[in-house]
Amino acid sequence: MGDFDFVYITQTVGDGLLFGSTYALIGIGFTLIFGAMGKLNMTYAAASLGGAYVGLAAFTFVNAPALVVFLVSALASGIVGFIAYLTCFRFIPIHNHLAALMASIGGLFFIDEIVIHTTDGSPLTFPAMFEDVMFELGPLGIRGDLLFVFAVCIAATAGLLFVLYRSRLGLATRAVSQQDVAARLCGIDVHRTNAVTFVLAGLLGGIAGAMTAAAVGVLSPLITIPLTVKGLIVTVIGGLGSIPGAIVAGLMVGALENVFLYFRGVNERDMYVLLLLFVFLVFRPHGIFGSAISRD
Amino acid sequence: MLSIRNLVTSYGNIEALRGVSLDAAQGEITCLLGPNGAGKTTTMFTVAGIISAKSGSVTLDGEDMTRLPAVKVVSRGIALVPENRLVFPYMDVEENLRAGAYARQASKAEISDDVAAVFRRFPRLEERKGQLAGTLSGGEQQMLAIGRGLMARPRILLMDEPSVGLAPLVVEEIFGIIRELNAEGVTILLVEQNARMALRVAHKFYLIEGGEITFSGIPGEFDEDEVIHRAYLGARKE
Ligand SMILES: Nc1ncnc2c1ncn2[C@@H]1O[C@H](COP(=O)(O)OP(=O)(O)OP(=O)(O)O)[C@@H](O)[C@H]1O
Ligand SMILES: [Mg+2]
Repeated sequence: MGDFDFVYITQTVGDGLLFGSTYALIGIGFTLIFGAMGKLNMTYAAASLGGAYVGLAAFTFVNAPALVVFLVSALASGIVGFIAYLTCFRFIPIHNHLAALMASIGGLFFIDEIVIHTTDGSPLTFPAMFEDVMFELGPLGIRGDLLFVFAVCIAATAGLLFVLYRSRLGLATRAVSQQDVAARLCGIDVHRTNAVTFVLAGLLGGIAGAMTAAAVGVLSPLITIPLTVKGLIVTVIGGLGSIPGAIVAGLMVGALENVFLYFRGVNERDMYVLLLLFVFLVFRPHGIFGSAISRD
Repeated sequence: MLSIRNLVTSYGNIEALRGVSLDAAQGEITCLLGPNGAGKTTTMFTVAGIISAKSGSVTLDGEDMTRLPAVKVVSRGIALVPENRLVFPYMDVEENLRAGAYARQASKAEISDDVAAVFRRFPRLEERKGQLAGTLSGGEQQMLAIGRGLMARPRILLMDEPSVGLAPLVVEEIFGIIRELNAEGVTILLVEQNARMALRVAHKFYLIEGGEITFSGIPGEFDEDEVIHRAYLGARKE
């Protein structure tokens, strides 16, 4: 628990912002699916880490280079996202929100159990890139691996926005999330579009999972629940369904969590993060980017 | 052209359509009138494939369309301009129009030409082409919804209460558009509560009450006031 040291706090905030980009990605994934279906996909963070585990398998068994590991993580998580859609959403009646929620919570624990059983629950080393690089910025230092994580997350977000706003697929995704009846009238297949949304979110999640593991250096089933909770907090603070909100909230939670860590230590850190959520729920329940045009 | 036979549609145990039959002829405006809850929207949604018929049939130029999903219905030539417009609120005007052409296998240039044609028809939409659809006025949203329907290049355009909730002057404008579209050869099946205006543009009308067609005819051949009275109040003919 630190004293007030300006340089150190700046360093802390900077590191937090860089790492917060992984929260932003997870938040975007939650928010994307919420936007499309009006439902929370609770499997999401577990699926993201599950994807990272598959990437890790590529590392462990065929000694794949880090970049390939990240790519495999993304693809695997995309596939898990598709499976989660089929098992927890596709065939559950559209208006039965609780059933979909419970199914996806089941999915969360199912994925978690698979991971625990295959790894005996022990943490495994995850490859990073540029972990030996350190940029000096006056008294501050920027970790190369964190900077890489940040850059990858920015690139993934940019890629997603490109797909959403510049492609036919993205047009369909946005149409379904804004007005599903009209989307059907335009000839858009809602089920297929939702499946695509889950895969897109899954790809992002796999990248986020891999980047989280790369930044921490290990992958452990102990990360699943905290990452789920952080993702949900980021989604709610950003405003359910808002991608810009998820980005800002992700970076903010990343930075503040580090500040809490610095002042109050690791035991109290998450308590303050949850307090932050509480403050938002009371004073700004629609999140940072509460929408101007109402839904429906 | 469009032919609906004994269409039965239900929501759970409630039968909303109890055997609806009607025909919409090529090049004409056919009007479906009826009081609230009569089954007008249900008829439109069943034809458009948003909800699935329990029995009966829908054919377009002899081609069976019954129980096809909406995606297929629109690509085979039936476009619905839905009740309450249902524009995509967070998309801009131009994107809304492009979404309307989603089902078509058309080149980019063709679609851009059609967008330009909609803009020529509705200059007010062109002025607002970069504006989010959710921020348009009701009349503008209706024009956008009509434009989006036209973007599908349908053989028949279904319109569900395009005048509802609009100021009298805007209602005039919308009916002007309907007449103009028809003059250009567009076949229209129009649902309206504004019976007086509707009877003025319709070639043929049907009255639906309690999920059944109870009356039909050519406007001019009947006492307008009685038709209107029934359309609003659903008073059954004894
Ligand atoms: N989703 C639904 N679930 C159950 N019943 C429904 C549903 N939608 C409509 N209904 C019922 O079906 C009947 C016909 O409704 P419909 O919306 O087709 O009427 P309408 O003629 O379009 O009325 P309005 O003029 O008010 O638009 C009504 O009795 C209505 O209550
Ligand atoms: Mg209706």
